[in-house]
Amino acid sequence: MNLIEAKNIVKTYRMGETEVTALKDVDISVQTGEFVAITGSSGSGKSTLMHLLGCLDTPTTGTYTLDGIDVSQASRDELAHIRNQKLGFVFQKFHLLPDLTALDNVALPLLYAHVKEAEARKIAASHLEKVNLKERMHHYPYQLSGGQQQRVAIARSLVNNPRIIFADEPTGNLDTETGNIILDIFKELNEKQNVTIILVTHEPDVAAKTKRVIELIDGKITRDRMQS
Amino acid sequence: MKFKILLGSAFRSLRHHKMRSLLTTLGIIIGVVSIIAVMSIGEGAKHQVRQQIEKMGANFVVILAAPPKAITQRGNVYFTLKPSDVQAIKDECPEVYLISPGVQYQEKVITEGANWMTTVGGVNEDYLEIRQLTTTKGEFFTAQDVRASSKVVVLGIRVAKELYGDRDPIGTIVRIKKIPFRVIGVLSEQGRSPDGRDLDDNVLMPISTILRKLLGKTNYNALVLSVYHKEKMASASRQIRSILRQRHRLQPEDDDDFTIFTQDDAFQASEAASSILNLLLIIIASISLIVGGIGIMNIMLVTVTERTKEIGIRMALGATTANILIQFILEAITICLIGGILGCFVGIGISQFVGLLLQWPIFISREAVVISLSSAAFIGLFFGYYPALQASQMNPVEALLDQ
Repeated sequence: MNLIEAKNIVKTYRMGETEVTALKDVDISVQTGEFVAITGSSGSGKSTLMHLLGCLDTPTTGTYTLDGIDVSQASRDELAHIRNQKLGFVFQKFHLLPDLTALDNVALPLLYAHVKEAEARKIAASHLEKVNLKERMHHYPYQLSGGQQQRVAIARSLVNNPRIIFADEPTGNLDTETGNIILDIFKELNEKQNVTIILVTHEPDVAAKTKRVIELIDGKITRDRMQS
Repeated sequence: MKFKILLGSAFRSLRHHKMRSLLTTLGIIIGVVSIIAVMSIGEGAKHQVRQQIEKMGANFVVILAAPPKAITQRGNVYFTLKPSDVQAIKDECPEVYLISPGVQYQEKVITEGANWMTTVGGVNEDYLEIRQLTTTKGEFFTAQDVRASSKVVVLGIRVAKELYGDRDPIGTIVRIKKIPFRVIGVLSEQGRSPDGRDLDDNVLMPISTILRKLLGKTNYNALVLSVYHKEKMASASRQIRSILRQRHRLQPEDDDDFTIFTQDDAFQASEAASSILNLLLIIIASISLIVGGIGIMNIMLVTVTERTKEIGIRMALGATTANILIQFILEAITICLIGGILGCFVGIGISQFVGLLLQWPIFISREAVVISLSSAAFIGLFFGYYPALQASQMNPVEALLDQ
């Protein structure tokens, strides 16, 4: 069974008077352990696709089954529960909560999963250790560099042991060197821990580091190929 | 999601906007201050009035010869209570302990070199005990004085001061309508009545003396009596009413031609007056709280808009509608409660200050603190709900993309 099984996905938005179709009849399936890049230019629909696959939004029509669950018609709170339990997110602008320390940022998904505070902190600390930020876990985001913030975000995305990690332009706000370090972390997670990763990028260099590239143009998949 | 964590998040966001939070809570603070001050000072005033009423006597009942409708008129000109009425009450109402007839009118009291317009009253020898009064100098007149219509007077302390200054009036002579009276005593200070009259501005003499020598009448315009038991005051007053109605030959459709006041009536009247005043002030305080609540709602709407991205992030991490809703409601309640607590301190301070200023005892009622803090919390809940609902209903994608 495929981890992700999306069929005939259509997503339309209403922009004032006009209706915009962001995704036109998209089929996509992903198996456990894949490292996929979704690429395309700005406005190609790649972010919309990630939002749908990441259960942040629901398709206008089409079916989407994630880990055996039909989520295309799920309610807000069911989607929140799925995001919390099965998915992890890494964003271009890190999206850490500025009022929380690195440790509390990482622990937050566990708190939403009703893990006890002390336990959540312990688990969060161990994940920060894995991204080499143990010494900085009591720092606030503004006290950390971009690369460090993104590592905190990665730790946060992993803290619930998710089935899939969605990374939206994770290197977009970092210099090349730091970006490469981040990509290496993803690669290692994928190879050593068999974590499924779906990475959205418009940079061919970044896409080249993944195992499979899906290219979108104007809301349609135009290319889907494996690479070594 | 643990309460403590949510509370922590509320406090953190307040810390980041200290000035804004303070200004926001000002409405709540003012509301709570007024509730606390009103209730504390009001309670003090109530206590003050109660003491004044208690000072007027023990279990005492006043019967005025005026019908209830005429009671507010100044100067009691009704002399319709007869000596036989007094006897009938004594005989037929076993609850009555002591009873004194009473007559009073305004008259000038003259000494050598001074005169003073005051209330001249006639009572019997039991009046002192009925009204729980004492003399500070000399003696009160006796039953013998009443029987003999002795020309003796007891001065209220104000009259003594006005006429004698620091000199001792005992044994001296005062003239009323050119008739000489010997001063045999001075009453202790009584202060003011609940309606503001100076209770020390009077002269008392035997009832028989005032009727025969000054007024030339035989009837009274008041009776003052005390009953044995406080709880039987009302039933005694009912009994006296029927005795008097019968004796005055009133038909069932006729109104009373006398008015009965008990000490309980006085308590109830003062309580009613102060509770109406309290209610008014509480309404004003509530309006301030509601205005404060609207301020809270306004600032929470701003906060929700400012923190759209945070809401989006929390949703991406798995926050449910309820998580977000509770987070923002708790934040509103926290702001209101902080305002409430500050308001309590300020309110208590102001009450104490007013108490010091007015020489009133101030009672900081626990009730007032509980009421104001819980209404502050309720205001937070009520006015925080709508902004919180807006936050919880955001679209996660739109919230995340918010700049």
